[in-house]
Amino acid sequence: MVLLLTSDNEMFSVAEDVIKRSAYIKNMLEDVGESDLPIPLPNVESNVLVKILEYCEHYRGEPLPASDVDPAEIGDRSLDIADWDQKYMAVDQEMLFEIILAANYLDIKSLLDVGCKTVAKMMKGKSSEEIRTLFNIANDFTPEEEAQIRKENAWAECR
Amino acid sequence: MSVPALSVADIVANDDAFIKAAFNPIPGNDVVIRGLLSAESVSSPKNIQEEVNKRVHELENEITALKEYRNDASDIAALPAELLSKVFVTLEHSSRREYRGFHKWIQITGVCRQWRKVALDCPALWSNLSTDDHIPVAFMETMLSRTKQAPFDVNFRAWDMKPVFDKILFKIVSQGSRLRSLQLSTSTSKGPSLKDVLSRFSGPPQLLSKLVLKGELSSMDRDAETEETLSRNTIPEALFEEDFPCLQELEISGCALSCHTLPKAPQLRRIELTNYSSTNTPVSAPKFLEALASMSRLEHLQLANFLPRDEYPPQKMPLSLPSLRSLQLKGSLRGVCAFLRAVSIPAEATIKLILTSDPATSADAAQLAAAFGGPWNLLSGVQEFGISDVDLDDDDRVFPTLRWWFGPPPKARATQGHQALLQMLGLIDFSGLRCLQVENSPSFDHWDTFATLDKLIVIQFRKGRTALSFAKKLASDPPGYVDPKDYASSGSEWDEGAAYEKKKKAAPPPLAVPPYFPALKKISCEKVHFGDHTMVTGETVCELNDAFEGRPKGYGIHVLEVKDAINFAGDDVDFFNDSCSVLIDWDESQCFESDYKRAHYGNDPFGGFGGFGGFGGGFW
Repeated sequence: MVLLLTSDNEMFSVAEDVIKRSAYIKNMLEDVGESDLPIPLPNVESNVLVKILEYCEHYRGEPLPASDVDPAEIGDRSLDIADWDQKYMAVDQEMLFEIILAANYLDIKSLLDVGCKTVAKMMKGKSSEEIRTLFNIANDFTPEEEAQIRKENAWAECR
Repeated sequence: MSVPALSVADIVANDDAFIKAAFNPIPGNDVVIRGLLSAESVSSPKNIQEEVNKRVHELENEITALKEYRNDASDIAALPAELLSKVFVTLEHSSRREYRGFHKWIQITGVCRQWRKVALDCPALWSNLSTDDHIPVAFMETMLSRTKQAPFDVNFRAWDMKPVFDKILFKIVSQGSRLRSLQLSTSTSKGPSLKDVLSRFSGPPQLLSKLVLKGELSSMDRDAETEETLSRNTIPEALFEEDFPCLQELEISGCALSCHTLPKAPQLRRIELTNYSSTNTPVSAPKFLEALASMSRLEHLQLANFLPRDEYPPQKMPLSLPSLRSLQLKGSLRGVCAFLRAVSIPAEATIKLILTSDPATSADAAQLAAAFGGPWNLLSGVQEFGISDVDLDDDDRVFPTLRWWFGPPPKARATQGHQALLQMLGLIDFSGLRCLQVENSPSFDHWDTFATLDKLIVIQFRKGRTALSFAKKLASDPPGYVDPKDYASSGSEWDEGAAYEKKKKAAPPPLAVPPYFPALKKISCEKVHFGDHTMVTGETVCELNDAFEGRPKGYGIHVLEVKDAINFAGDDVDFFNDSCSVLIDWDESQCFESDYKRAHYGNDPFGGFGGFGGFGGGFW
């Protein structure tokens, strides 16, 4: 078992084959060897780690992706997301972005990809204004800047 | 009295009347305005305007700062630029395969200042310059500049190669060291020529992994290929003098190679070279062999009218192409044979040949057979075999080509129009054949070659009426065969009468000679024409039914699979079911001749057999 200590000082005991989906933890275990000391995760809160472990547990036993392969390079360019992953990602925005951050920090490539796809899918086909509304973003362009951007992207509007 | 709102937009409008009104205070408003402007600065209308504009500018900056600060508190602001870029790239990549709305991703640049900065600082987002996306030239320039010094991909197609693209194309090829893939297709007369563009190539092409250069696109243009167009589409010698350390895919069609060789590219895995004109001089044999010798990873080689026409240099051993998995050659018998003798190809490779020599002779067959001989012997151990008729183009014209396709297990396709070359059938060992495929070969009549094979368990027909000649063969008896029913055990009704008398005659033991196709268990028919339906059932159905009925015990055929058939209906299924025990696996699609339209093969230089390895959509 591997001990993980979250930023809010909660301790988790996790099976090694579950958490090895995290390349960060996997490398650390290989570097440090067996130890009773917990691995501190200062960038991950306990509620997020619970979610991350849910993902790792679900894919327990599945082959790990090759570490040196960029998904973009192998042609995975669709926004298709597996059913289970879609349900897993059906969380509020705050948690969604926390999951992405944690996946990035823990180096779980497949989860990071699913997270990015989920956000990209939310944005797909939307106008700037709709994206602002979606993510609660204010338009901080000056009118002149906005006019310039609109002019620059005008060709794409009419496609 | 209500106080008019003093909006930023109103002030920006710089409306004198408004400003004057603002300074002829309406009770309650004057305090605000006086607070904005110092007493000294309102001495003249001009000063008023300047002061107001200045203050407006300050306010705008403050508003922007406040909004930016507010945006920093949004949930998505938790994502650092690196991750936001990844989301953007994911969105952009997913948009490339869409027909409509694929530019919508550009909207991300207009969401807020932070997003715009992230997007513009992400070269990967702008690295795909393609005329397929109908991006205006001016914006392509913008995109190119936003790629900064990062690798990028270019795909310009003929119908968009307008003169207006000169400038951007020249700029692109001048940055050849950054190119990751370059695909240029030019028409015969419009826009910049390939020669012009490529002569400005500035390398080294150290990152280039894919190079596609096409001189022609439409089949109509191909017919019009002339020296002039070839001159426009000449690949400059200097380009292929460069080293291409990362090149994995090379595709050239309708172009002249001024150097008559291929680039030095040790990573090449796929080469497709096509000449549409027989007058175009392809690669030279010595240089070609030399180039191939450096491509130990080559997996796919396709040469259409691109085989060297000069003599290969003397070799102690054929050149080994150890990684080759598929070879497609289209050319003269002489050129094909010379190439096959010059190289050594792994037994796992699949080979597809189209011979353009016409007419062929028995001597040609022997020559080709000899080229297949030696250490690379594909004439034995055949487990699958396919036969296909000549290809038809859209006007049903017959192409004078032979398709001869070997692979492991060796496979072949041959046109019935080249009877002489079909003599090669006699040179192939079919004793291990398990599956035979016949596509659209109505006149094929070589059933004697296959009818006695004792391991052949599946025959598949696709298109055409060849199933009829097969059914007739199946229904017939081999020499010396005695129908076991003639010697059925005594006591049955059938034994009585003339047959009973016959039984008394001296005769060989039943089944000393097995029936034709003794191991056959399954017949599959896809898009097969079952013959004229003037009677209740078509001719093919009648023949098959006769054959099924006549099969002796232990030699029964299990399944007749019928998909997308022409002139086949529920009545035919009933007909079979009433008289034989063969399972009729029919997809219930009913199509009669009047509805039938010939499917087109497509226009690839290899005749569109559904692609390499594609017999009727995936069997091969």
